[in-house]
Amino acid sequence: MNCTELQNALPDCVDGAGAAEAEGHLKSCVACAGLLADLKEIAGQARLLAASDEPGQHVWARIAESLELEGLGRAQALTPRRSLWWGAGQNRWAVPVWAGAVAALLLLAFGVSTLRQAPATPSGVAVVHPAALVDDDDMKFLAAVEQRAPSKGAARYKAHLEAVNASIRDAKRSVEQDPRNELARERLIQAYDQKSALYEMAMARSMQ
Amino acid sequence: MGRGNQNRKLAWLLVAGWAGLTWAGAQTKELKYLAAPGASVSLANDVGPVTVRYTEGHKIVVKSKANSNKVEVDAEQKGNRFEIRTHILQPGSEEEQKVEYEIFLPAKVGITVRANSGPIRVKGLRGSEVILEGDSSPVEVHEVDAGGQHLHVRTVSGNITLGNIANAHMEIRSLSGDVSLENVSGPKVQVTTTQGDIRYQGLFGSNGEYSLISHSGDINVALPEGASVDMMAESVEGSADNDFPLQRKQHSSFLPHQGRSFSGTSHSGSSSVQLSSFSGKIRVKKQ
Repeated sequence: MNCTELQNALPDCVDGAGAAEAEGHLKSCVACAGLLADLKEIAGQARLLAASDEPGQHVWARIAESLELEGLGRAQALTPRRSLWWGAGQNRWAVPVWAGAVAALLLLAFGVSTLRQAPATPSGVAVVHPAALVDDDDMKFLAAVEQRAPSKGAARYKAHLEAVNASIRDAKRSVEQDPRNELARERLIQAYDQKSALYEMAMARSMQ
Repeated sequence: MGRGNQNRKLAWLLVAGWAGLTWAGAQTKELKYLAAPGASVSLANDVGPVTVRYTEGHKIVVKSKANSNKVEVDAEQKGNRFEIRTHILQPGSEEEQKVEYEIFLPAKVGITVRANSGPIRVKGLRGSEVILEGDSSPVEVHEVDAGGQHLHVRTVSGNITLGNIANAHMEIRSLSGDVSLENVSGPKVQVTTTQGDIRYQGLFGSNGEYSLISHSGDINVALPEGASVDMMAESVEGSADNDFPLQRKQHSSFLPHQGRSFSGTSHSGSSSVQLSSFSGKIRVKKQ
């Protein structure tokens, strides 16, 4: 499961019904784990607010005065009206569930935009998406193939790229563990050649 | 009797009508070129089978049959190079874009084929440099005497089958297709797959260098008793089992691990054989 898929499954995770896959991702992704923790806290606080007493009329009047002094709003707009929006009952300030949901959505939107605008990595260092085993350069290449030939199955090449990148990762590990192993070195060379061959074949197909 | 004649006439009309319709849909073409040794042909075809066969003499013959008028065959001669390409005129179904090719090649004329989905079959070539690229196309190469030339085959997912090939510098690659080699020998034979299995049956002859490498695919080797090999095999996370008599080498930096790697020589060890997989199973047995 990657970050995008987890975000789609967030409502279930907040309710505690998240799948095992989501748990696995949360263990390895600090950003997503933090986002889920914040959403759970908001949902928890929303339940607490629903049980609290409604503030008195004088409180609203003081808030309105302050806002007017700062030029931020008219006093009348803040006088609470007895409407369904504030929930039933005259003496209780019942925060409806959807107020907490709105807050959660706002935080989710903030979290998503923060994740998407992650600071740029140092030049020359490709971002690797651990679950997908393809880096930014691979994604750019696949996008170029898809653009040239939308019907030629860039998604299929992505699956092969993941397999090839996994083989490079494993071959590198073997060489690191035993640099004198001739077979390990040859596996690494061939793994890189496989990736190069895949790039060439995908590009040739898209240009045909 | 009269009725019989009428029925015969009707049958002939039906046959003629069918033939006419068939001709209107399919478009055949035949091209002939005079080629000197060292000439080369390159063919690019998206959909449809490509067959390449040996022919005596000095003429290259290219026969094509297009399934519809939504595609055409473009051919161009540039000196001693002949380029043939399927040109898509209008979008259409896979069946409408299909073009079948049959190429007859004299000795020492090179061939490059890029066919995405349609089997590539090569048979009987002599002294030709051969480059075959199939995306999902299965590729078959049989009875080729490369005369020291190169034979390069690569696919993304198409299976590769090679049989009775001699005197070739071979580089065979597939990402997920299986590779099968029977009686294949050369100065150098390099086979690499990422996920596909590799199967080799034969002598590993000609004092060659043989390297069969897979990341997660299995490698199965069957040798006759008379094979003269210097063999090294390793599977990092899989298994490596040997059932062929090998003598342990006196001086070797390669340390065998029971069930994971082994090495040794048979007879004079004239051909070098490396079998390597990261997580696949390696099995060597007597044929």
